[in-house]
Amino acid sequence: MRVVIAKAGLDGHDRGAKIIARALRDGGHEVIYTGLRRTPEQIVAIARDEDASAVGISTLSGAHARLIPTICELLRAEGMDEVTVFVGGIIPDTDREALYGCGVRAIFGPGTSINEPITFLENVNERTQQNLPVGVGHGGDWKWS
Amino acid sequence: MELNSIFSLFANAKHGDRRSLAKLLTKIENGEEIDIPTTKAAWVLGVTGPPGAGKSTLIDRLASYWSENRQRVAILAVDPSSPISGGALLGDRARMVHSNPAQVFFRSISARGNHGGIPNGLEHMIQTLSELGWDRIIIETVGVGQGEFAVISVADRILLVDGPDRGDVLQAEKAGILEIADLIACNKSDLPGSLAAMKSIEDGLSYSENPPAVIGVSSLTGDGIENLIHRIETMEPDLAKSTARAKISLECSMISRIRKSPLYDDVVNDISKNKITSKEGAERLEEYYGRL
Repeated sequence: MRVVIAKAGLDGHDRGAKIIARALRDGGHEVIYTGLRRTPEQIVAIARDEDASAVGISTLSGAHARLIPTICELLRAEGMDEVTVFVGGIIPDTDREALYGCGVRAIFGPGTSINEPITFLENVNERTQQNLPVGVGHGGDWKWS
Repeated sequence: MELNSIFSLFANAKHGDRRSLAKLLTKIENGEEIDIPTTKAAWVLGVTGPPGAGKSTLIDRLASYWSENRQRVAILAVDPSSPISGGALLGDRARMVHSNPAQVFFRSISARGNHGGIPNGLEHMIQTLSELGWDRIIIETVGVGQGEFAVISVADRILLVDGPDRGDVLQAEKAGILEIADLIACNKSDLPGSLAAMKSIEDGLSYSENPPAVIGVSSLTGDGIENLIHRIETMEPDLAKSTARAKISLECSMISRIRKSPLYDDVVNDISKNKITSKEGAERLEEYYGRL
């Protein structure tokens, strides 16, 4: 799978993003890392040009409630409904429902095992083959838990 | 279904739809046969050099300069794939901070196990981009060995990037890159020791026939970039170098053809068990292709 790992906004901490990028590479995926401080518009343009099937957004700064819904909306506006969006980093429990509501399919917090995002993407793959909803514009309430 | 056919993707991409372009390149990369008209020769700059020399940062500068001057710039960045998992970490675009992603098209490409070869469809991708009106196509690859230089041989002008305290010019010379490089950018001219580095590169070249020009640049400050661009644009095609490049790309295409042969695994097996010599193995493959 082609996966974009993105850092949005002013958050300058990308150790986690790089570890996940490496783990997904070792899981056999082609991982494109955006680099730091991308705008939601840039992230969507990158996912579009790279023809990514999934976008993983790493966020530790607390700006998730603003940036992630914007990215999801822009993906849909570009017609990229089938792209799977997942999130890693610090997301308080009280903010999670809202992110799932805007199309995020998985949230990985601190303590997540390195294998979990890989298993998640395998699951996405299987569901795609069965034509089950996985994308940011597919609707349905499936999420990784 | 119709919407995703190569024909309609090409037509939509021609009208400026970037998503169709991206999907078209995926199809080419995945080995789908594609009949792209060839009405013009592509303008392709290959950029290579040792890890950490500043290739991506320099390409960012070139791309933003050209795109500000109304050229349509497309970058294809080739990175190796993991021989164990088959996955790849494609991080070249992390350095793209000056060029505007809305204008410059950037695509990361995994070598997908094609060690020592040209990634699947790379030449078709270049031709497609050129036909769609991308007039500056840049191929980036890390130059650490012969295989990586093979990637760059599809370009018609080649820029080698090096920097202070690297001492890699000798390595590059050993691997044969100097035979096909048209220009050498000595990057990081803002750092102390950069003049000495340029001098050492030039000294290393002094015994070569028709050595490439060495130009000091700083991708960080932008110093020397316009001079470098001027040199790239006014570069005279060098027949000896294009012949050397053609040899490399032809040999690589032969290698990947041989690897795709249905006899390949059997022949390898027979050689490993000492049933036949490698010369006999080569003859068997040759015979196979002779019959096609």
